Amino acid sequence: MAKILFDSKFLHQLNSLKLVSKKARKVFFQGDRRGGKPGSGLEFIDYREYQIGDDYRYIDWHLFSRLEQLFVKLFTQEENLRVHLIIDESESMSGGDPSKIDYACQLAAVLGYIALVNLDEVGSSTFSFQLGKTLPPRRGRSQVFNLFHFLEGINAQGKTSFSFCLKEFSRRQRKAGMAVVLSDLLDPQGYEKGLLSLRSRGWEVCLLHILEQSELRPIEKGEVVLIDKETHQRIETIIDEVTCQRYEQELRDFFQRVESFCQHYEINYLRVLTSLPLTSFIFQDLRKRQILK
Amino acid sequence: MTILNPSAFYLLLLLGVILFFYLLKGRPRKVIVSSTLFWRRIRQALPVQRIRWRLPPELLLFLQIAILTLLIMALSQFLLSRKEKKEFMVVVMDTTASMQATDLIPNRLAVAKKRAEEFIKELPKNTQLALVQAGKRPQLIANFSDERSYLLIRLKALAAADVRGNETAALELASSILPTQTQGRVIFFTDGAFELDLDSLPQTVELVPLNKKNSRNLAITSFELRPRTEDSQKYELLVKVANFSLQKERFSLRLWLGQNLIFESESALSSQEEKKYIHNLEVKQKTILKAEIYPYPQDDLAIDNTAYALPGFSERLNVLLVSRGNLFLKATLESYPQVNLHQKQTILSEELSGYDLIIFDNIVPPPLKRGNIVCLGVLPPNLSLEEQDLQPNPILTEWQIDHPLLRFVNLKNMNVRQSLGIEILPEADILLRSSAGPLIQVWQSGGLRLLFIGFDLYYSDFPLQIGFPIFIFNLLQWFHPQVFDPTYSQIQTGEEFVIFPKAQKEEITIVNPHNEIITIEDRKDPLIFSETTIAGVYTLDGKSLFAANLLSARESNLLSRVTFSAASTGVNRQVKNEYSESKLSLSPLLILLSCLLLSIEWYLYHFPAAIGKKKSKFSKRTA
Repeated sequence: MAKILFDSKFLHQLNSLKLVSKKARKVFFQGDRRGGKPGSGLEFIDYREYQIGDDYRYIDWHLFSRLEQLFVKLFTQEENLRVHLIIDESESMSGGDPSKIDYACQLAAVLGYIALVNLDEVGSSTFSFQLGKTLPPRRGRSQVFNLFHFLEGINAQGKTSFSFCLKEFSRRQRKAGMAVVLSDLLDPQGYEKGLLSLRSRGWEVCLLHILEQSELRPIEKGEVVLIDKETHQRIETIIDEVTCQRYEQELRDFFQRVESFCQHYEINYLRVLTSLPLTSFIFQDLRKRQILK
Repeated sequence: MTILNPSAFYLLLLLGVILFFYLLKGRPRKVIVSSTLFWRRIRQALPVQRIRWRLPPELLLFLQIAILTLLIMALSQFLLSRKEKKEFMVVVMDTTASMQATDLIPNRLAVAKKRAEEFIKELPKNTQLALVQAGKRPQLIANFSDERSYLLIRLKALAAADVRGNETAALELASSILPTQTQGRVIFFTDGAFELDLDSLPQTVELVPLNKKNSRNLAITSFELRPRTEDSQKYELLVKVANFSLQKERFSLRLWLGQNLIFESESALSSQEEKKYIHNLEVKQKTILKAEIYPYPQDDLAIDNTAYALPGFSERLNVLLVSRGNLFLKATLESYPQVNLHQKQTILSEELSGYDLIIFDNIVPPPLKRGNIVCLGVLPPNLSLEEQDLQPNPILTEWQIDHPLLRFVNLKNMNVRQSLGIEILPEADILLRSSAGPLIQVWQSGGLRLLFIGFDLYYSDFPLQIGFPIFIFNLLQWFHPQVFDPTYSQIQTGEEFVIFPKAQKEEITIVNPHNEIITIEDRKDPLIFSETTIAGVYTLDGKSLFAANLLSARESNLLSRVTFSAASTGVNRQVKNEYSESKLSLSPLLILLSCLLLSIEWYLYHFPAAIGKKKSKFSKRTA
């Protein structure tokens, strides 16, 4: 069970941050961010000629006195963002120090806090071999504790069915938004279909790939029996220098495939090691990749 | 490169043991990983990985193999050949009796040793020197070495013996130990008081004479005693006295029988003249006969002025006949005056001691360990031979006519009615063979001398043969030749003396003329005693055993008979620097190297972090 503990200083630092969304979304509630379309916001953006049916209140009478033509003032649309934090709670996420699942929950908590502070809607879902618990999207600072409570209740267990679960998620959620997927992507069935189904439903996807140190290079040497945490499959092998090099090559290829895929489908992809301090990742890496500003 | 001990390479099989222990690594460890996704692909890509891993390229394994290989190489004694400038030289020191002559002060040997010492000290450092002593038998005193102090110690320890020398053998020995015939030199420090064929010497030999004055010497050159045929107590004595001085010498000859002076004569001899004295004497008991000459004035060599002999009856043999009664044996043995015959019908083990010869006639002896034994028609119990059925009428096929026991014995007409069918004793000497197996055999082991006759005398006509008493005499003489040889107790210094001690004795003590006690344990029977380099009377158990005299005209003649070349009057110290091959042993270096590797292995084993620092680099980069 992950413990979400942040000190006030850290939370105060997070207040200055904001999630960056590149695409416009339908407005249900007026939000705190400038939309791509003109609307009833406070910030002036342009003029256009008056047309029948326009609200008289937006006619610029000063311009009419000078030009004797009716022009209507256009203002920006204040939009809110729907952020959904999708967390992989499969058994493979239990490894590492701190564990990947703890790191993912803390990262989700931070992102959720930032979104709620900025009056965005924040929801969360978990998945392993099937879609797990879901926290419906809510807005407002008061929802922070609900979110934290939800994240604290997440335990790593079960096999991974990444694509199936994301397909199911996108099918259930009628309104798209920004989906932040936190996973280690260790699914033999692949991750591509799940991410594509989100994209096809109009979700802006941000994939945070969480890794632990021992996954980069095997620590154990010699004759070993490798036991898969999820499937309990046993592989008897011998780890030596050549094997290690081969493993690293495999891992590099995997990373390259993920990066290429994400780049192609405009998915924001970022890899993080659990050994990297959370503050460093949030204030440097996420801002550098313009996920936060 | 030379390998002295190639059999050490069999130890390379131990490499297999090391590899075996590596193959016997424990059961594979269980490692729980997030996913085996990548490992499945790797395993497919590296199918031969298992075989390769079984012999892993571990540094510790390589070190252990290297250490073992180095140790095996050290054991196999690798020698590295290298050529270096070196001269080999052998110094031969004459230590014969003539070197005791006092014409040089203090004596010839001391002067020779001093000259040799100076010679050794002045030799170049690259000279390898060996020392040979030229006495009765040549002896290598010090092998080739450049350690001057060691050589000088060995040189100082040399002492002259009262023996005649064998210079030719000494020079041959010295020449033979030189690496090659063309390299090296043999330097012989000698007085030249011997005859030597200079042409027969190798070119490498250089003789170094002693600068001596005209020496004076009178010597007893012969001292012989023989019993008279009419009376065994009467003896004839021959004494020869020779003058080896260049001038006429006067002397007095005295003969002492025990403490009694029995003859005295004064005489004079011209140069190189010899005089014989024949004297009759009667000896009623065993005593020491001593001949002494007193030159006027004293001559240069005293050792040849005295001679000893041991006349008198030999001790009678105590012969025990263990028999239920054998007329032939009893009558024959009693006929010899040298035999004290004892008879018994049974005997215990503890009663075996004290007899010079024991004859078991159809009486089974107790277990035998040492002594002189004759078994007639019975098997000794401790020889583990299988007794077979009695063999009737064996036909004699072969006998050793030249064996001392069968000398002058004709067995051609001998008939045997029945004999024991036995095997041949291990390492036995078969004297008489028959169609039924060996009939007479001789067996010697440790202190036991056994004559085994495989038939009963009463079941043969052997006692009726002419050769029977001769055979018994041969038997007595073979077991105890000293009893029948009047010259047995007199030898020349340096010769071996054969001792036939009383039976059942395990240790004997001999006192030499200098009253030094020589104890001989675990002896064999007979015993060859070779420490006879001192002239005088040797005693065994307080009784005179034998006398050793120089009695050598060759040795007593102190005048130099060897023609020294003009070049050899001084020692040529110039060393001919020739390249010679020397061997350098790599073993110490290899052992040192293996110890170094062993300490590295120990360090790496206990501090493995020293070889595992690279691990985190890739991880960091990948992250």
